[in-house]
Amino acid sequence: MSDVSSELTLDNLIIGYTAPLRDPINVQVHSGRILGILGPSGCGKSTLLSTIAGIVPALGGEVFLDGERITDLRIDERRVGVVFQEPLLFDHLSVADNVAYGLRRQGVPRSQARARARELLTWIGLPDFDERSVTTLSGGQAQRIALARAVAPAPRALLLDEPFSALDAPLRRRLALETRERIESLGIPAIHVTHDPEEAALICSEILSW
Amino acid sequence: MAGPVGRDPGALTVPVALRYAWLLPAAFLTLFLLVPIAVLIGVVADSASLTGLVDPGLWRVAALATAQALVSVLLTLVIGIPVTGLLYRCDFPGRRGLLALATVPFVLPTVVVALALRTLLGDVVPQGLGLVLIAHVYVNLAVVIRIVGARWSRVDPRTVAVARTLGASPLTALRTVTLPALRSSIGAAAAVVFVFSFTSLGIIAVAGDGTVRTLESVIVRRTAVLLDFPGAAAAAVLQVLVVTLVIVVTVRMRSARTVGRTWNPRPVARRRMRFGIHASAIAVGVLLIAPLATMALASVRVDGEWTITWWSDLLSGSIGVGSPRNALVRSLGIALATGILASVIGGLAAASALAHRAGRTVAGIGLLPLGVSAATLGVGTLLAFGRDPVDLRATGLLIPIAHALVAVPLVIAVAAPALTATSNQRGLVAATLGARPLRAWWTCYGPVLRLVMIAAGGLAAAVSLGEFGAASVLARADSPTVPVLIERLLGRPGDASFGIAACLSVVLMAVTLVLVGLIDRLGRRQGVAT
Repeated sequence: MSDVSSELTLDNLIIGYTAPLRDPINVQVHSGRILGILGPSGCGKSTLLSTIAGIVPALGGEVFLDGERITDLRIDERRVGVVFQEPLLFDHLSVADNVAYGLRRQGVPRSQARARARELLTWIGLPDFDERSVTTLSGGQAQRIALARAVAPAPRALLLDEPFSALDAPLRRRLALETRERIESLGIPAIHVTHDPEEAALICSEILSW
Repeated sequence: MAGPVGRDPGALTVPVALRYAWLLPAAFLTLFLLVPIAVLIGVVADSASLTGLVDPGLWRVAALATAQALVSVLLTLVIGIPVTGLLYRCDFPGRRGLLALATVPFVLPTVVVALALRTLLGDVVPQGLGLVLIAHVYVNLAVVIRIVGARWSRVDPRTVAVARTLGASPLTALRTVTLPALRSSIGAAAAVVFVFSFTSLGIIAVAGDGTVRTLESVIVRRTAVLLDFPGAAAAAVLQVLVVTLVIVVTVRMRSARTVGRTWNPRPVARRRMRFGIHASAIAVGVLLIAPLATMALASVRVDGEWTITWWSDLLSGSIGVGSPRNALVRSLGIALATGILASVIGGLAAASALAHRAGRTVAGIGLLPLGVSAATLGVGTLLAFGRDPVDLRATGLLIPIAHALVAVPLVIAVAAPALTATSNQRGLVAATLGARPLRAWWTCYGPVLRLVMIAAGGLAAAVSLGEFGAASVLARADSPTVPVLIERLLGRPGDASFGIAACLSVVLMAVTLVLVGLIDRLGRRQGVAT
């Protein structure tokens, strides 16, 4: 890998918990682009995202973001947003407080963070949901709020770990298209992993098959 | 009155025997629980005892016991929550063993635990409030670990990972995501620890210095030393009121039942963290074992020399405050009687609860002793059946009866869920093959009932072996149980008294651990939670 100034760069990255799951990975993803990684269960797609986010340590190689080496940074220092297969919303917080969570961690005052959360709720098409309990949401609504929560603190990259796989086909298709538009408008690099070729074709700028 | 039996509302006919099975537990609980409580209330209701209830000295003890219990709760949570996280969220070699070890102090008799800590810390922390607080933390650590751990294992670790990706530091993620998810379980654990510390007796007697008191110790002193029964009854009623208040508040605060999958702890990938976790696990293990090992050592050491003198004295006969050998035989006999009585009464109540409303009412009454301390039960039993016109003291039945009352809720708590969770389909198949109702019912529920009665009976026996409150009130001067004898020995000066008390504690510890180990093994083999 030569150019480490591109937005998200994986340089000979080795992933796995105790032993490497696959050969070293070399990938570049540019701003506003969504790289799709298509592969069956167990091929290491989710482990790759966890490694980029810092949840699982890399066994070797490097991760660069905007030219900065982030391989050894703690999870909370990387500013990489993740949306998992399940929404994983915080049950004890309202919808607005879920979306505002990352902003609050950046020291944004609560009123401002909630105001920004309301803007994002409008952006994802759920404008009147701010005071709702997250336990009352449908699967599609919860997943859109998980997306809004991930982008609220202005991450430098976004990782999508099969976020629509638990939804029915029409909703999955609609959310995939919406998400693509939103990531492109944010202008950050994103990686989307899935085992569904149709979903990958809908959302991704380019696709890598594993 | 009789209806379908079991989880599946099918047509398994209630056998005639089961229709009337509730009568025996109902009679036992009425006679030995409700009558003593009524007598206790009757004694308090007369004018002299009402004066006792407004005694400022009693309220001062209640206030100090409340403060002591609150500090015990705080310390237990501060130490227990990180240990729970270590045991339920991090995988490391020996994790299961450490989890079992953390439960040991809780199942041991409180006088044994208090003596163990006194032996280990005697030179550093003298008897008094400090040692009492340490003992309460040591015993109740298992309560926090088990209650909070059960909830923590259901908190999806990915929610914490999400919080971290959103910029939360490990501590912030703990404060803003994990702890809110654990809130109801922490509240439940705090309530249990509060009740145990507020009604503490064995630890107060052995680790305290006479100035640390609880209402429980006041009850025992007024009954066994001052023979002030109305005063003891007033203290008992006040204690029941406080405990009931705590239980009611806790039940009202309790959130919906925990559901969802269990997340197994994962190995820690980062080497530095792994080292920290292994070091913490070793430290916790050493802290848990050290008091018990020191006490065991004290039973074979005197003035820096190895000796078996205390063990010989233990077996040789009387030592001034009663024969240790006789006390041991007596305690084992009481434990056996308690195990049989509690498993029969509790088992029948749980089985009846399957069949009809009367059975469920009886099972509900059987749970009442959970909110009534052992000394209170002892005083009630003594007032009702320890003096004219009904004096059962000479029969030797009072302690097994009081111990059975303490243990019946445990039996019902083990047996009722196991029976309710059993499908009645096997019974229906037996009925279609010509089995009469009792045979069909037994084919379905018999194996489970037999197992839980054995396991719960063993648990009741273990509780009886270490029980101190009721025995302090009910044991005659010439026939103490082992925990009562240990406390008497520690009240006498000299190495011999301490050494023999240590030997008796080692015996109690060994028998209790063997019993609990067997029950655990039985439960694991049969797949029933005991």
